[in-house]
Amino acid sequence: MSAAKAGVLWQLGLGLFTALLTAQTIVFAVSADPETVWPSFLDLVEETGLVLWLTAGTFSVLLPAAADITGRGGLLADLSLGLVVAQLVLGIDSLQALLRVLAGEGRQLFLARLASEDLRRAARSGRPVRVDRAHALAGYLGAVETAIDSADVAALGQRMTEVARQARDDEHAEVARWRLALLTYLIERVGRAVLYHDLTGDAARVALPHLIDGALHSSYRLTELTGTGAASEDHVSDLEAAVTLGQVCRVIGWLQQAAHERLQERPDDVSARQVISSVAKGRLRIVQFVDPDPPGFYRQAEDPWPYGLSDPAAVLVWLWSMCEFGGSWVGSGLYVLAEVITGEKFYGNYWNDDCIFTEIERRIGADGSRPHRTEDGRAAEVVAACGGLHTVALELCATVIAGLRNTRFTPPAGFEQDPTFSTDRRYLRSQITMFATYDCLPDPDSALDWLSTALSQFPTRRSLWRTVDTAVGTAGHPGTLDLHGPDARPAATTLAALCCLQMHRPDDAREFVDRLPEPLVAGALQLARFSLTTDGPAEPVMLTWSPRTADRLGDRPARRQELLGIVEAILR
Amino acid sequence: MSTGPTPAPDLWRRNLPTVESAATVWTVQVATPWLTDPDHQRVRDDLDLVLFRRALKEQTGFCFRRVLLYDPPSDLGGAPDRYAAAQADHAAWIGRVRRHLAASGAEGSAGGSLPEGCEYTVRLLILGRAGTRTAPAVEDGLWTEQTPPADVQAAWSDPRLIPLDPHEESIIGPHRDRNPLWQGAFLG
Repeated sequence: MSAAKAGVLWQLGLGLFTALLTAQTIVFAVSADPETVWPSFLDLVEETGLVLWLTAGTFSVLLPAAADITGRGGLLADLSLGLVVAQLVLGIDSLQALLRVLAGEGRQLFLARLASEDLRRAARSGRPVRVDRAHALAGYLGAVETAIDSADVAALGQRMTEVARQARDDEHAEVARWRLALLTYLIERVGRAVLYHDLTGDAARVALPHLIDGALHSSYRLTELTGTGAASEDHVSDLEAAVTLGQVCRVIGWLQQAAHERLQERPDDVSARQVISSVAKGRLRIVQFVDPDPPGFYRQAEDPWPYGLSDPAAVLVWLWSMCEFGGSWVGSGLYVLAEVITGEKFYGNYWNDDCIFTEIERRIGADGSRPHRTEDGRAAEVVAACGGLHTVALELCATVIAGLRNTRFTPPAGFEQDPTFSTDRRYLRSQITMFATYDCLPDPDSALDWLSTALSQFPTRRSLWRTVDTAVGTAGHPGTLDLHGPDARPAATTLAALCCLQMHRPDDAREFVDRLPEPLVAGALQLARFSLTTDGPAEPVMLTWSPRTADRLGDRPARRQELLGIVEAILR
Repeated sequence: MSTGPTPAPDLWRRNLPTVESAATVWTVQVATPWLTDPDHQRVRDDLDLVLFRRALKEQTGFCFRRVLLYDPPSDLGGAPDRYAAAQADHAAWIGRVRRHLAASGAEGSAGGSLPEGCEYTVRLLILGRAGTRTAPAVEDGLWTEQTPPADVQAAWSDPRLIPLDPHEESIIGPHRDRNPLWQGAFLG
C-alpha cells in the first residue's frame, strides 16, 4: 500500500476508534460505577478486553500517521491496514461484551463466572475453609452485605443465584469445598439478617430455596470429585459432603425454630412467616436425596445424589445435625440410617413403636460386626467408633430432646398440619420413642454408667459426638452456630436415659431418678417442664440450676415425683 | 503412692481398682505428661471417670481431693503448637472436671447437694514463672489411705491453691438446650 493511502487510513482508524470509544464511554457512564465492588471496575475492563482494544486502536492511528508523515508505504502501511481492521473488530467485540455483561442473562453468567473465579482463588489458600476471612471473596461478600444493608432483595437474590447456578460445574474438589461452605454460610447469613436485622422477609423467599438447592448440587459435586476416581490422598467418600448437608439441615432447623419463637411474640411478623415458608421443603428435600431409596420420590436424570449416601459414618454425622433444633424428618433420617448401615430397608413404623435400632441390632449386632446385606465391614468400624449402637441411639435421643421447643407454642397460622409445628402429643412422643423403644439400658446402674460417660465425652473414649466432632473439625465448620455435645447438655442427656428406662422398666426409672444427684434432677425437670408438658410455667431461658437456685423448683421429693410424672405422661 | 516428677501411667492404672472402692482418694496431677502424652491422658480420663461415676452413684461417705494445674507450664519444649495443644487439652480437662463437680452436686459458690459425709473437691495449682519456686512443692501421686503424706496435706492446705468452683461458669445452665432465638441473637 502506498504512503498516500496511509493518510486515509489513519483518518479512518481515528474515526472508527472515536466512534467506538464514544459508544463505550456512554455505556460505561450510564451503567458502571467505578466504586462498585461486585463486579469491580477492573473486572469489567478485563471482561470486555478494553485494554487490548485501546492499545490496538492507538497503534492503528499512530502507525498510518507515521507512514503518512514519513512518506513511506509498503510494510508499514500494510501493517496499519491490519491494525485498523483489528481495532474495529476488537472494538465492536468489546462493546458487545460490555453490553452483554451489563444486563440480563449475560450479566448473570458473567457474575457467576466471576464468583467461580473468586472461589478458585480462595481455594488456593487451602484449609481451613473460612469463607468470612477469605480475601478473594471480599468483593462478593461485600456486595452481599451491601444488599442486606440496603434491603435490596433483587440484588441479594442475584448474588445467591450467582453462587448456586454453577454448583454442578466445579472441576476441582477444593473449589467445590469452598462453594459448599459459601452456600452454607449464606443460608445462615440471610436467615439471620431476616430474623435479627431489618431485612425484609422477601429476601428469605428469594434467596434460601436457591441456596439450599445449590448446596445439594454442590455437595454431590464434591463427592463426585473426591469419590471414586479422585486421587487417593483426596478420597473422603461422602463424609465431608454429609457434614455440610447436616449443617444446612441444622441451619434450616434453627431458622424454623427461631422464626416460630418470633411468631409467638408477634403472630403477624411477615419476615418470620417468610422464613418458615422459604425453608418449609428444604429439609425434606435433603432427606429425599440422601436416602438411597426414598419412598414416593423419583429422582430426575439431572438430580444430584442418584444413589443417596452410602457411608454409615456420613449418615450418622448428617443425622446428628438433623436432630438439632427439634428439626423435622428425623424419623425418615433413621430409615436412611437403617438402610445404609445394614444394606436393607426398615419396614416397620416407628409411630407404632416399631424400633429401628432394635431391628438394626437384630441384623448386624449391637457392635455392628455381623454381616447382613453389606460385606465391607464398614458398619462394624463405624459402630465401634461411635461406642456401640446404644450410644448412637441415646446420644441422638439427647440431641433431639435438647432441641425440643417450648410445648406451649402454637403453630403459625397455615402451618397447623405441618409436623414441624405440630402440637399433637403423639408427635412429640414419637420424637422420643423412635430412640427410647431401643431397650439398651438394662438397669439403673447401666443408665448411670452411660450418663457418666456421656456427660464427660473424654477425648480418649469413643462416642457418636466424638465421631461428629472429628468429622466436622476435619471438614471445617462453615457456620457460626456452635455445636454442642451431650456433655454440654446434661439435662437433655439425663432425660434421654430416663425416657429409655421409663419406656421399658418404670420401676428402674423411679430408682434411677431417686439415685440422680440434685443438679441433674433439677435440670432435667426444668427441661421437661419446658419441652414435654404444657402444665405449669416454662422456666425462664437463662435460669441455671445450681443447688441454691434449684430450691425454687419445689422440695426435693416433689421434684423427682414431678419429673417422673412428666416423662411417664409423655410416653404413655 | 507417690510417683515422682514423671508419673508412670502403668502404676496409676494398676491403682484404679483400689480407687473404685477407697473411701478417701487424694490425687496430685501437675506433671506435663498428663497434657501431652496419650498414655497418661488415657489413665487420666479413666481416673476421672471412676471418680465421677462414684460421685454419681454412691450416696455414702467418700472424700475425693485433687490438685490439678491452673494452667499448663509455658515451657513445653519450645514449640508453639505443642503449647497450644497442651493448653487446649488442659482447658478441656478442667472444663470436664468442673462439669463433673457441678453435675454431682459438689460444694461450690452456689451451694452443694452431695449427701452428708461426701466430698469432691478440686484445687488448682498456679505455677510460678520459670526459675522461681512460688508454688507449693508437691509431686504427682495417688493416695487411697485415710491420711496421705504430710507434704501432700501441707500442699493441700496451702492458701495459694485456687478452688475449682463448679458454679463459676453457667456450664450447667439449660440455655444451651433451649431457645434458638437466643443463640442467633448473640451472633451479631
